[in-house]
Amino acid sequence: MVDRKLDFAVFYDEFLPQVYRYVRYRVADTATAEDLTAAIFERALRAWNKRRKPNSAASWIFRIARNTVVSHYRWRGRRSHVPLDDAEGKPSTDATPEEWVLQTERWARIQEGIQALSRREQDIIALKFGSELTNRAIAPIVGVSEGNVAVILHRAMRKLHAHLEREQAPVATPKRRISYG
Amino acid sequence: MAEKQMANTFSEQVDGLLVGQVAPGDDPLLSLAAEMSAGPALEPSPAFVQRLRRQLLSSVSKHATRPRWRWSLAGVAAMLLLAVALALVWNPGSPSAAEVLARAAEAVAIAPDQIEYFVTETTGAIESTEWMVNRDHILSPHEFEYSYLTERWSRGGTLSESQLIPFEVAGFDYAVDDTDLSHPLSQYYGAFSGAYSKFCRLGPDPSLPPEWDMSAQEDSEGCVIFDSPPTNVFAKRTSESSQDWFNRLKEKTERVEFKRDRFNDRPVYSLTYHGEYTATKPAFPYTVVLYFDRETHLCLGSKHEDPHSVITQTILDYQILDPADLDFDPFVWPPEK
Repeated sequence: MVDRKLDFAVFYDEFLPQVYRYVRYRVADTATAEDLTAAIFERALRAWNKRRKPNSAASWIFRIARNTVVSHYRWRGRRSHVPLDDAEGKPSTDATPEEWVLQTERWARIQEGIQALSRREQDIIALKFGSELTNRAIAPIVGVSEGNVAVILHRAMRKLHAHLEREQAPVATPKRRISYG
Repeated sequence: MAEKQMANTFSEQVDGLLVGQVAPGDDPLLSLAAEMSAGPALEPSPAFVQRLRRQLLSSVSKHATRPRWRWSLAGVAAMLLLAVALALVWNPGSPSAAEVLARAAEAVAIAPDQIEYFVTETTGAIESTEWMVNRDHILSPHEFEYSYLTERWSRGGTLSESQLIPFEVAGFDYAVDDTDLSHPLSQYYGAFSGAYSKFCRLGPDPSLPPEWDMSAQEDSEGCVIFDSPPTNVFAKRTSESSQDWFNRLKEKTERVEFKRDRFNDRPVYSLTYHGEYTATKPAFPYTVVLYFDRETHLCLGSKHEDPHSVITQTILDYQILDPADLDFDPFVWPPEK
């Protein structure tokens, strides 16, 4: 049992940040990300001794993570979330308040664009930029070949870029409503 | 440059960006990637990391140090009385079978163009002491135990513009330890409507011993076509969506047993119904138990039992996909080389 505890502690320390960042990329707010991350690791702990392939721990925990996020959306209604609400992930360390606001708005738009992608594209983007996994590591998690991960990522980024370009088109400033009397 | 090559180059550049070895330059996609890789620090808070760590590791310790109870007869009797009293008096919020089925059906509701995706683990034991012939199989006397993983996509089966879309199912079978789903043992495809059923397979069916190989009945594409819908309870289940299945059962809840139960160490509601399989002579009874997670009411698996077989199916993965989520068409038969 001590070995089990030590093994799981090492596993937790290694994968928690990556898994959390994947989840945080996929859901609206920190509280939900923390709840889902806790659920993922509780599920992993329950199944810890039943694993058949201890060497593929990364694929295993990310498959659990992916399924947990999918279940979350299944119950909550798909894509119901507001993008990067709390922006309390501070944009960058040395940002001035003005830069912070601009970066937060830019991130909100990027998140909006990500939400418009297919579920698989969202997964690959979250695993790449959130968890910083290689295509080889992503492939078994999403169930496509390494080459296809590259193609899907490239297409997703092109779609995202096109979305942001459209968003940058000038928008008429809303007129101020004046109330008389 | 071919798309694949461009995509690979882009991925290599992104990996370089992530480790700080590549600068984005003027490439707009790479600049966007750089923004995303340097984006908001979405790190877990140290407080959360420590809290969850403590919580998880203390639950391991609890299991390790759990004291062994020494039960006296009086203690057991008192506990039993208490349990009965609690069961009679306190049953808050226990849903009915119809409610659980309704929520389970709601969870797997799909639009006509959406695809259900499952990964299941099936374990079974077949024992037949005499020859049996039915529409789906010819069974020689045999004892056979098996287990395998199945990956399955399905779509259709609902009314659309006054037409019945044939229900299609396709997938792969894998050895039970091939949890990466990387080496398929066999590939299958089925199409079912009110008027016909078609089933195709390449490779052996892991749920049948080699002696029961049905390939002699198959055409050059590995298909067998029947001019009626399937009657076998398992084949029937294969020919409808989970939503349709749960909704069909919802109409029969007066015939089911419903209780709190456990399945693979998880607290569940189990729903048991009994039927009679009449396609064989003599007919024989069967029992099907469905297991639903007590919190989410999602179906976690099922067990089929009859005098000749016991088959348990555990759902390992379930997703509802949009066609765009797939970068291939799983319903093409014969499969592309």
